[in-house]
Amino acid sequence: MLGHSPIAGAPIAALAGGAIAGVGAASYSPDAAATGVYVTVNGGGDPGYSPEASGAGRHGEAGDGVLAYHPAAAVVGRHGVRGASAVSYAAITAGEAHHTSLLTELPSALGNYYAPLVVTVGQSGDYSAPVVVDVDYPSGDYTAPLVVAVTQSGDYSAPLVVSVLGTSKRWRHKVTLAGMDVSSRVTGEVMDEQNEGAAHIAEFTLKPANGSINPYSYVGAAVTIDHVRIESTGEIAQRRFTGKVHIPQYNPADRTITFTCTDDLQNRIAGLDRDILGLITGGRFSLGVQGEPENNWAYAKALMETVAGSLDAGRDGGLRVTNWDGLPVWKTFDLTNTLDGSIGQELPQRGNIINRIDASFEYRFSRLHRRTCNLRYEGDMGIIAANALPLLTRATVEAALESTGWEFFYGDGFGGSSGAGSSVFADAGGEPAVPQINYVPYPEEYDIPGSNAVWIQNETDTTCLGFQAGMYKRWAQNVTETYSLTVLAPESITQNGEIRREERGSLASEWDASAWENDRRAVPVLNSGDWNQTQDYAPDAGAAARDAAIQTLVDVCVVKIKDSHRSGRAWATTLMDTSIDVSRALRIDTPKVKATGKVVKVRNVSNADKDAGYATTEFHIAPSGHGGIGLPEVIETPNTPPDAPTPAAPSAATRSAFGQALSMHVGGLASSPMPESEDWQGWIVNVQSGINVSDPGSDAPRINAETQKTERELVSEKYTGGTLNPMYVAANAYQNTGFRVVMPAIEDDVRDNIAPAINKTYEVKIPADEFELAA
Amino acid sequence: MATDIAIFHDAAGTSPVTAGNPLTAAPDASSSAAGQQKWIGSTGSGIKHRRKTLPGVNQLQLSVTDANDASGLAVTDVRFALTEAGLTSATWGASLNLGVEILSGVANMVSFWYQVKDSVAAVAQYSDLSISILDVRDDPA
Repeated sequence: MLGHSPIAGAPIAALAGGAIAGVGAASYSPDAAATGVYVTVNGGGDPGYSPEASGAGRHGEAGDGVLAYHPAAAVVGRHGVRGASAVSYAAITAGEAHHTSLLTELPSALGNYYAPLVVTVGQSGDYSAPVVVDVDYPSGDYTAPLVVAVTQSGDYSAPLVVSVLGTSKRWRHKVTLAGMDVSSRVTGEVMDEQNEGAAHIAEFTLKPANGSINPYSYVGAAVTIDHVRIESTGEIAQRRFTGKVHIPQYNPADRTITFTCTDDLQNRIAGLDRDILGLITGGRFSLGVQGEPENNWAYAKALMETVAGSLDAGRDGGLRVTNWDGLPVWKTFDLTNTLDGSIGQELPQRGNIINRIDASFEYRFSRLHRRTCNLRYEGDMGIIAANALPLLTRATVEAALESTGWEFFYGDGFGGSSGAGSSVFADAGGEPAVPQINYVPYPEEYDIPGSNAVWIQNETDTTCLGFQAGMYKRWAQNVTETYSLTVLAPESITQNGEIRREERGSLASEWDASAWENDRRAVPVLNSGDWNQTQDYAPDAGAAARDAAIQTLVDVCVVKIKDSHRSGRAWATTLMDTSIDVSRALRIDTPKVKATGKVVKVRNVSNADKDAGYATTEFHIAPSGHGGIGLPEVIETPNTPPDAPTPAAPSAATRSAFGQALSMHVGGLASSPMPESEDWQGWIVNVQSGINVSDPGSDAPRINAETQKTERELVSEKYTGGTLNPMYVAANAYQNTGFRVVMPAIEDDVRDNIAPAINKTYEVKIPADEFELAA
Repeated sequence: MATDIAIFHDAAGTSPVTAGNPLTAAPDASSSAAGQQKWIGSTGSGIKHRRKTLPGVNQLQLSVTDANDASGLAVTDVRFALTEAGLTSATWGASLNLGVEILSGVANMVSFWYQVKDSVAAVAQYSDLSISILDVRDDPA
C-alpha cells in the first residue's frame, strides 16, 4: 500500500545530535554503538509502505511514517527515499546538499528514488547522507471502508404576516397569472367559490395584450387572487384564491379571455399516497364495503364516507378535514353587517332525512376442524386357538381403517411416541407422512388351555393379534357470519317517524380449503394434542379485516344519517370578508332568522369596473338538527363490532364416542351372542363349520404273543381332509363378518355450512344546531 | 446547507409555508386572532432533525423572531401550544418545545397551534415577525 503524505514540498534537513527541521517532524540521533548516525525522517502521516533494506550498504527502514538511515553502512552513490517524503530524482547528486525546492514532486512509478538528506553535524560542515531505499510494494487490492455522514444545519424561519384591518371601504383586487400581476387588465367580475368537500374554483376575465394568443400557455398557469384593502396606512392584501388555470376561454366578440381556475384539489389528492390520505382524513376504508376505488381521489372520497366532516383545501393550500360539528362560532352576522335582503333560508326536507339504516354484512370464511380418535384392538388368543379361528391379517385391518375415510397414524396415545421413536405429531408438515399402526403380531406358538395341543403359526409379519392406532380427520366448514346492524337516530325517529335505508357489505376469504383437506401436510396444523380442535382460518381476510369492515360499514351509516340532518340552509351576503371559509361556523342572528352552523359554501365576487364597484361575500351555513325538543338524550354507540359467536364445545356424548376399544365377535358357537349387531366393531368372525385335518397316522409297538417278536400296532391311519366341526352351530353364525371399524359421526353443526346470525343496534346522536325562524 | 425542516400548512406536507404563502393572522384591536394549526417536519426520508447543540438532549424549539424590535409587532404578540386547547394557557412570546428529535416523513410531522394578538393596535400589515426553529441539525436517521 502506498499512502500519500501531505508533506511534499517540505524540506528535509537535520542537525546532527539535534532536531531535524522541516517535513512536519523529523529527528536525528547519533548512534553510539554504530559508527555513524541515524537520521529519521517523519513523513508526517502514514506513508503506508515498508521499504526493505536491500543488502549491505543500503539500509533504510520505515514504519509509520518514519524513515531511518544508518550512515555507517552507507555507500556514496545515488541514494534517495521514496514514499511520504517524495523528492525528485533528477536533481539529486550525491554528496550535495539539496534544498526544499527539490522536494516537490511525488514519484509516480515504482523504482528507486534518491532524495537528498542534509545533515548538519555539530562541529562544522555539511554532511550528506545518501539513502538508498528499494521500495518493494506489496501487491493486491485494498478496500478501505468509507463512511460519509452528510449533515446540515441551520436555522429555519417561516414568515408571519399579520394583518390588522381598519374600517376603510376602499379596496381593489389583485390578480396574478403565471406570476405576473395582471390586475390592471382584469375586467368585469372576479369570482371565487368554495363548497365544502370540493375544489375551490375561481373565474375572472382579462383583456389580453395585443398580439397572438396561445391558449395552451395559460392552461395550468398559477393564479392568485387577493382582496386588497386600501387603508390609510397602506394596502393590506388578503388571499382569496390560490390555484391554477383550468380552462381559458377566448371571447372573440370582445377579445377577452375568461379563465376558469381551480385549486386542483382532485389532482393533489390523487397524487398522495393512501397512507397519507388515511393520515389526514382519519377515515376508514374497506374493500368489502366501499368497493375498489378507481384512483386515490375516489379512495379519499371513500375515506370521507366514514368521517362526519369535509375534506378540502384552505386558501393557503393546506389540505384539511373540518368536522361538521363542534366548531366554535367564528362570527355572527346580523342586519348591521349583511346586505339588505340577502338573508335567506331553506328548511330541511323530510325526504332528505335518513334516521335508520339497516345494514347487513356477511363474512365468509373457513372453520377448520381436526379430531382424533384412538382405536385399540386386542384379539383373545385363547378363543382364537381353541376355535381354530383364521388369522387376522394386517391388510384386512388397514383396509377397514382406510374405508372409514379417516387418516391413521402410528401411535399408542395422543401426542405420545411409540415404537422406534416415531412421534405421533413429529412430522414437520404437521401430520405424519406415512400412516402407521402399532401392531401386536400372533405368537408363533400357543399352548391351548385344557389340552396338550399347541397352536403353531409362522406368519408374524403380516398378521395382527392386536393393534393401536390413532385416527384423525380434518375438514373445513364454510361459515358465513351474517350481521344485522341497525343504525338509528332515536331523536329523529321520534320527531320525524322512521325513514329507513339499507346498506350492505361483505367480506369473503378466497382461501382454498379443499386443498387443505386433501393435503395432510397443508397448514395450518391443528395437532396440539387435543382430540377436538377448531380454528377459524382466512389468511386473506381475517377477523381483523372483518372487524374493520364492520366498523367501516357502521361509520358509513352514521355519517349518512348525520349528513341527512343538515340539509337545511341559511345564508347571507356581507361585504367582502376573506376570513369566511368553509372551515368556519357562523351564526346568523336576525329577528326572523337565527341559525348556527358550519359554512358549506362561500362565494366571493368583486367588480372593480368604473360602472360597478362591489366586493361581497355570500355564505351558506348548514345547521344540523332533528327537530325534536325535550327528547331523552342519546348516548352515541361506539362503532365496536358485535362479538362473533364461537363454536360450541362438543357434547359429552360426542366426546365419549372418540376413543373406542374394538373387540372380537365370534359367531357359530352355541355361546355366540345373537342376534348380531351392526354396531359391533372389531373382528367379526365365525368358527369354521368344518375342520381341515392332516393326520400323519401312528402306530405303537407291541409284542406278538405267538412269535414273541416286537411288531407295530396301528393306532390311527393317515388322513388328510375336512371334517365337521362339532362346536359349530350354523344358526349362530354371523352374516356380516370381517374387520369392521365405524368412526364416530361428525355432528351436523360442525360439518355443514352454517350462517350464524349476529345482531347489534347502534344509536346516533344528531347534533342540534340553532335554527329558528320567526313568523 | 440549511436544514430541511419546515412548517407546512397541512399534515400531508403538500403546502409549505413560503414567502408567497406565509403564515397569516388577522387580529383586530379588540381580540386575538383565532388559533391556527400548522405542521413541522420534512417530507423527505432518512433524516432526523435535532438541535445542533447537544443533539438528542436539547429540545427543538419553536420561537418567534422579530426582525424589527423598534416597530411593528412584538415577540410577545404570538403564543404557541401543541393543542388548540393549550393556547389559552400558553404564555405570549414563550418558545414551544417540540421534542428532542423529529424524524422526516409526513407521518412524523409535529402539529402545533399558534395565535397572534395585536399589541400595536394600528391598522397595517406587519411582516416583521417570523416563526423560527433555530439551531437545527439534520443527520442521517
